[in-house]
Amino acid sequence: MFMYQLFKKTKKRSGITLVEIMVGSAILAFIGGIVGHWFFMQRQYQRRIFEISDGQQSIRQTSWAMMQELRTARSVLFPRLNPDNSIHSDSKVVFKSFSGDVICYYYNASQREIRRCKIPNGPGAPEFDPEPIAKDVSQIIFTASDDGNRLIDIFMEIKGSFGLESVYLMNE
Amino acid sequence: MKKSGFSLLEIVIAISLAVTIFIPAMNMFSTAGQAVYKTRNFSFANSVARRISQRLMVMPFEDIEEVPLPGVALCDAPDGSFFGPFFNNTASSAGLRRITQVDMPEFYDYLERYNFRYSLSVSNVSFGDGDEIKSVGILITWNETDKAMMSRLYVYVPTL
Repeated sequence: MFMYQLFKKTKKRSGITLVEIMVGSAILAFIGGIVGHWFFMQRQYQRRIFEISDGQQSIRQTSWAMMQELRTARSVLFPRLNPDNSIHSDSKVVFKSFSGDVICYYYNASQREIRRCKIPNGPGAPEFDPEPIAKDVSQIIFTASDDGNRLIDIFMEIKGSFGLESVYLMNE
Repeated sequence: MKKSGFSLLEIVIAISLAVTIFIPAMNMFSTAGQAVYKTRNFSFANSVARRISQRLMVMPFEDIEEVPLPGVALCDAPDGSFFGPFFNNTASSAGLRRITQVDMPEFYDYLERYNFRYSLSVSNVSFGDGDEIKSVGILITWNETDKAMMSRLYVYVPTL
């Protein structure tokens, strides 16, 4: 009995107490919460940045593809100015290309994409391009704004980026 | 008996220090993000300038006039400017729509947030035999976190 009490008195305590564990856990949880929230916010921010970057790139490519063909077109068939000379907009544009083909760029709202097709001059079904010109398009507006129908304004919104272009028909 | 290993306090301080150093290091991602926003605005400003340049081609020569700084705002642009009216899905002037909070809320918010404006600097060049050209400087200005930004494009419009 005497030896046990002596052992108890001389033995040095080691390890950590429950209170220390709880305080440590609370501090770590607090820091973890802050860092976790920050990471979540950063992830959201990065996603938004990538979307804007993708949208911007998509607008550039789409504008380029359509403008190249429209610039050298012979005439715009639709849209054209209204009878009272006011501007007229639509989600599609139809024009006669440099080579004489009737080309249409149109917005497919259900798929949120812009597509291109060639309409035959005579009887026959339109030939659709296998791939869309652009995807994830929120809106597109083609506007005829010149009384000579030589100018087409294009407004696009893709993933929060906006594109604003005008094409002057050089051949008209 | 000699103590060995780390105490809990040491570990907590070490983690706090690591986090304090780590967070500023991660801020470089937000810097990259700001660069994307900047590029988007420059890209948009270029497209606005191209739009104006194309419309100058169909304008009557004598109607091409100076628009001094600070220029015309793209949102709520007055009628007769390059951006008003903006679109019309109907078959008469009754359906004209403009870049206003009501007609185009998202686009309007974007333009208003950065205060996009355009100005024109027009110089006449005469060749003496009746031929004339106009040298038009198109300035697009906007604000990014109180910093004034500008993009410019020069076009030459002949009388013909």
